[in-house]
Amino acid sequence: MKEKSLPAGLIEEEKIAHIGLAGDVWRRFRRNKLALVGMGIILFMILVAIFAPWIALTTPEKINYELVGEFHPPSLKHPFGTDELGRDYFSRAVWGARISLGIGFTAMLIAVSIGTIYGLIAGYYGGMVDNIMMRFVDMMLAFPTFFLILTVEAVLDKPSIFIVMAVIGLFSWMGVARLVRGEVLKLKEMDFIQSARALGAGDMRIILKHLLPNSMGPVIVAATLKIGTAILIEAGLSFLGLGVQPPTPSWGNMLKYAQENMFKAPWLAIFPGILIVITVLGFNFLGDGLRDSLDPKLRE
Amino acid sequence: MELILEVKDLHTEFKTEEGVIKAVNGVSFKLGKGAILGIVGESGSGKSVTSLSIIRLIPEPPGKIVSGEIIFQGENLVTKSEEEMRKIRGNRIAMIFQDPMTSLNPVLTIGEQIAETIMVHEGLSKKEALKKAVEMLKKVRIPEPERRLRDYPHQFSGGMRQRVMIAIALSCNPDILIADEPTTALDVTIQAQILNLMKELNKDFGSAIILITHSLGVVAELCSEVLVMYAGEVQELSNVFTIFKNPLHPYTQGLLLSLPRLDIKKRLVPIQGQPPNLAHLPEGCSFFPRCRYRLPECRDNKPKLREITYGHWVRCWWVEKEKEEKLEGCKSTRS
Repeated sequence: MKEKSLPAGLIEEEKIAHIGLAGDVWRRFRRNKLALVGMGIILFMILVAIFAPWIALTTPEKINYELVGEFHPPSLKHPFGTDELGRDYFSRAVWGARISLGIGFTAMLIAVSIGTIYGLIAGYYGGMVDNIMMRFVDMMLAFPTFFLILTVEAVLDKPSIFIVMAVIGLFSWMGVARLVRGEVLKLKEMDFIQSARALGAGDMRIILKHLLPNSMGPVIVAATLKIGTAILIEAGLSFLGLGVQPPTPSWGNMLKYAQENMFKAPWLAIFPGILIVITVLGFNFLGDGLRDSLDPKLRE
Repeated sequence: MELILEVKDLHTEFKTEEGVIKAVNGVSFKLGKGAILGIVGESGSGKSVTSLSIIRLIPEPPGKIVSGEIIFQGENLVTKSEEEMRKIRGNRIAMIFQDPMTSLNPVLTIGEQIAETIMVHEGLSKKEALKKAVEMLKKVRIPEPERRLRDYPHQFSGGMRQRVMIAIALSCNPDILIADEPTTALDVTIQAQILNLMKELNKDFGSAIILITHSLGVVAELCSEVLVMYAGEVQELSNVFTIFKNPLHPYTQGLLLSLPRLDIKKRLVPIQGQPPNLAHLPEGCSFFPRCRYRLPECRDNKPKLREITYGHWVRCWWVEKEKEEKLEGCKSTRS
């Protein structure tokens, strides 16, 4: 009779520190200074957006009739100056953070949800289904998206902020769909998918429990970068008068109304411009940092 | 012996650009309750396709089970719907794969992965399933199972992961466990431990095991019956003692000669040539081009699988002829 096998690997096992998946990612993320800066910027902006009513000095639409047409430059009383209607520009910028980030997040959520479901289905079922679905994506990508959004917004005439979010989201999911499909094509050949099938898992279970969580890494990266892009698209739309409608402030439409008085009151263009640039930059830094730290190949 | 599985004349083909690949070409065998059957052969001999056919996981297209029957507890699995098969997989027939490093989902904890299968098949709540998962981890001798339950696959070594795979596969107490090269990716000391574990669990759980391997050493360790496959066909089938003591088929003999042994000092003899292209099999015996004992009739006539002595089946003209000559010899000496 052979003796009972030893609890093998006990010793080597102890050496592996007990860090979860998230801990592992964070350890690598922490080393990337630029990504930390990006995360700091984003967190700051999110806090500003959430606590806008407390941070802002007045409501953003409040017109100060005594100051109309005076264009006060930045001062202690008005840190970002005032605009042509005497409105406190700092308050508008703070509330604008709420609108711009809100549009960025919502549009991203719409794009990522559509793209992920689309990519999962195309990648998993493959063959004809995949072919037809991906040709549709190619077609969507061949349209000049920005002009398409412009047209839709123009047709809808003075769209509400929710329509702006939806339209941006509906026209920017294709990249995510391609990404997820690629991941799924790679993942579905892997042993653990075959193994799950051999243990009686059905299509739904394999898609939701095995394929979806495993393809989330690149999706998180794409989503982060997408928020930045959505903020830029909103700025572009608002700049052309087709995005967020006044008097609601967004960084984009603040820029639009600044251009009329560009030389009289340059701060009106500078503040929202800087805010857009650093926020988008923040999302890009964060996205790049996540890409590096989520990459399973770099796992130690 | 009570039968649990009977495969009858199974043919599985793959359509490729080169032509139709006959990966499994008329395989038949029987598996007794609680028995351990080894399927041995080189890469591409059809052993994996045979096992994937049994649980109906042949990718379709390009693959297809063309004909044959797989009788599992009186039911023919070939004609079952995907829905019905899903209830059998993992529950009554489970399978583990070669590489434990990639057989587990990297983003789910071990506990979740064991519990998943139990929840699907036994309808237990997550809490109960996790409790059973701890028991299973204990059975495969993973230390501190309650704590390890919350760990991810990358925190386990290869041997430990294969134990986890075995725990998952046995969690619903299946009638048959198919193990496709379960120790090939592990180093030798761990291999022995996993094989011992499988042997013990075979006794405890009473699950029959189909062990697919290219290593005769593994077969000798574990199996009671051996099936030698070549080019998608069964070449020799017998109990494990007969195969090692009295191998009849030239291919089996070749496999044994190429196996290093400690008790006999001898040069290893490789089998000459390459396995045949499955899209263009020889007319006659598929081993003909590489056979040391080939006869003229082997080229054009396919030998049949015949019972040479009780329970010892061989597909070879040369073996049949030898036997006849022996019988002739006996007769002449007697007269």
